[in-house]
Amino acid sequence: MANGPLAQLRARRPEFAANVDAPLPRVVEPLVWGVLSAGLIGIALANLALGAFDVELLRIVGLFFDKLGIGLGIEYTEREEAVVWVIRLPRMVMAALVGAGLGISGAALQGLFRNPLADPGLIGVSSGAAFAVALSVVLGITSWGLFVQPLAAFSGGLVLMLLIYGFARRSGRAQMATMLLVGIAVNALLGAAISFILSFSNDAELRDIVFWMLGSLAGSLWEFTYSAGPLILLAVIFLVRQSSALNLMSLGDAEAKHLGLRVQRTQLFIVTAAALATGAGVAVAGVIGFIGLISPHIVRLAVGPDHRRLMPASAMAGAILVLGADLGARTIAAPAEMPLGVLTAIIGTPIFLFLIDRARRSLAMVI
Amino acid sequence: MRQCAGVMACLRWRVCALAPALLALALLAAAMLSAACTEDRRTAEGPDAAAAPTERATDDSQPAAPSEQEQSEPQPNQQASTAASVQAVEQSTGPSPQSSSQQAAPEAPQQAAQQAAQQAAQQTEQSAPLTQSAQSGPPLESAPEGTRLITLFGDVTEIIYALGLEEYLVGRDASSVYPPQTEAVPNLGFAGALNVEAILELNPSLVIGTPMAGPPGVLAQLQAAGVELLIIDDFNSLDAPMIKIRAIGDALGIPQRAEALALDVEQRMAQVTASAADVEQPVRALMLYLRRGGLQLVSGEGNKSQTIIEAAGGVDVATAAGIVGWQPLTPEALVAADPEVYLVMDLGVGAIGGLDALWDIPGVAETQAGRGRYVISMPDLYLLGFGPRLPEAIADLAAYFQSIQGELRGE
Repeated sequence: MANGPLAQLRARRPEFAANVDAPLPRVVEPLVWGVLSAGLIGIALANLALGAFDVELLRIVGLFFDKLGIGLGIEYTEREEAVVWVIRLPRMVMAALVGAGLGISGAALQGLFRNPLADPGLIGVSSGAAFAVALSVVLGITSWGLFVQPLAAFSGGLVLMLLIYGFARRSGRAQMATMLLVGIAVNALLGAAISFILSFSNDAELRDIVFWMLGSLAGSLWEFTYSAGPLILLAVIFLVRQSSALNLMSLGDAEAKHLGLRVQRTQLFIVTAAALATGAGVAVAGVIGFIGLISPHIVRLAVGPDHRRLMPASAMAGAILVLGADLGARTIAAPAEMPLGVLTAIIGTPIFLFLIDRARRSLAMVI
Repeated sequence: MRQCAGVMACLRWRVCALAPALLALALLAAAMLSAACTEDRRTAEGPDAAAAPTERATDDSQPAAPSEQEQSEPQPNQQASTAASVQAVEQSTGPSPQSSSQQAAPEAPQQAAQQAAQQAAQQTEQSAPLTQSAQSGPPLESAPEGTRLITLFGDVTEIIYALGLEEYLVGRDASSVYPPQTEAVPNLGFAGALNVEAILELNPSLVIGTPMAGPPGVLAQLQAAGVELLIIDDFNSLDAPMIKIRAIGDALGIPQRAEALALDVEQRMAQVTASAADVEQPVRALMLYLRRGGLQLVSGEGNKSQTIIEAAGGVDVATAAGIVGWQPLTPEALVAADPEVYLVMDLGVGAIGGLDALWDIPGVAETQAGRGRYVISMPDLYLLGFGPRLPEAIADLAAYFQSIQGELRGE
């Protein structure tokens, strides 16, 4: 790193070192990671232990040791095993992965667009996926199999993202501001298209589509985890490795290019990775709003603007938020189920408003 | 053209950027295959899936046929044809009592006494199809001990009560509102957004739903947890109640009890449709599906509204006007169709704030029905549930049609 572009930059532009690259106070850094890890592990375990179906904690422990091959001699029924192993565990893993994917995509896109309002929905993934799902429900092809709907959502999201990106860079090189505007316009168009589809769908189709658009992890099966999980994981790892590049790009495209960054390529890679992480999550869980927007804002308060800390922290915060919201979705309205997207909005909006208020007072952050 | 070039450039630009996407598609395809395998297994297990194709066939051919018969052919002929269709259904569902009882076996708690009781029940059921048609007044069968039922739509719940099996009912969905006693049964919410743990907490042995039940992943989870699932298609035909009743009876191992109820409903249906047939100058009706907010829907050809209006001796003007399925209400098209009476549902009337608000919807008041304020509102489940009360619903509708016919034709 000593002779890398960042080191040169630190020497030439001291304000960059002060603002973006500043190390955290020695106490804060371990504290932040400690709190995030503890929160993640704690809420994940709570997701395993709590639910409408009563399973004793001791039995869950016994079950997991049995699966590891260590018999503790704790007895549990087959149905309890099914609840923990077939229902809660894949759902917990899925919630954590989807949340991490949304959180880190939000952080990456906010950095890339240099706009604190950017979120994964803006690059068209969510609306493309929602449109594809609405169409497939109304055309009746969702009854072909369990995987038709996720596949439609995933490909719809990716295709629309590529169209928006292609349109934005048709003048030769992609202008991130153009992509933001194109994204907003296309989102509005697809919103109208979805409303049009809803207007002539019958009761059952209407509920299917709306339910999906509100997001839910209720149908998380191991098959979904196996198919979407690795994809989200790869995208998250890739995005974490792009943290330094995002730091450079926060200076502006021209500066980043002069510092030796291949700006166009990096932009496409980051947008694609964010679309993959979001698209795979949307495919299995529907549209989950707010997580991509607020996770980076929350952790930015603690870790500052350096993407090398912001990115992993956003992923963890996203996972914690989705795990928490899903715990609520499963238990608050039991024996019925709450839509996940409603809960993330209920949790997300006050946090976001609080952040705006705080930023306005201290003027430390531009929102 | 330039736009196209942009997209192409983007696609050409380092195919490796798309590699993750291709990888993802491959992964999803692989997962789809595995899902298809589980699907196959499910089809092999479920009696509903095996019986569905034949039932679907009757469903498809049925909606138009009975109404034509009612209008053109004399009564005895029609009864003969319905009797024939009963036999066809019996043949198709004949072997399934055995399979359904077998699949019910592993669901019961593993106590020896109960298993013994169940085996005994199985034996009686296996002999049942042979003697069924000959016996006239068999003793009431009972479902296997340890049966715990969850019903996920109103019509299914109604059938369970009509069969007198409510003691086995441990859960129901939000649409199960009749009979009023269902109030006391735990409510699992909307059937399309099920909470799988809440269902398992009720420890059901059989969950009966409609295609609306979901999300699909939850149904797969239920099966993974060892709960038997019976999905009964939402038939749109006058023999829907009988098909549903027999399917449920087979799944619960009480084919004779179900047959008795099915024959009873069928008899009432035959009486109702016979008396509603041969109406001169039938009333021209149109069903509106009212929703809160601006957009209302008209129910047209191929919907249950067509079936029920024609069975009650009316003419579905939406079908006549070429409206297919659910369509947004266009005031001009409504005025052109010019119905003499509106058919609406109670929940919709509540949603728009009472029947008076109906006439404020553009176009609604400008028809014959609007001028005479002819509208009938019926409970949603009663009208479109197509459960055991279908003959009564048709009779009510027919009675209303007849009561206003004099006024309409007198004008």
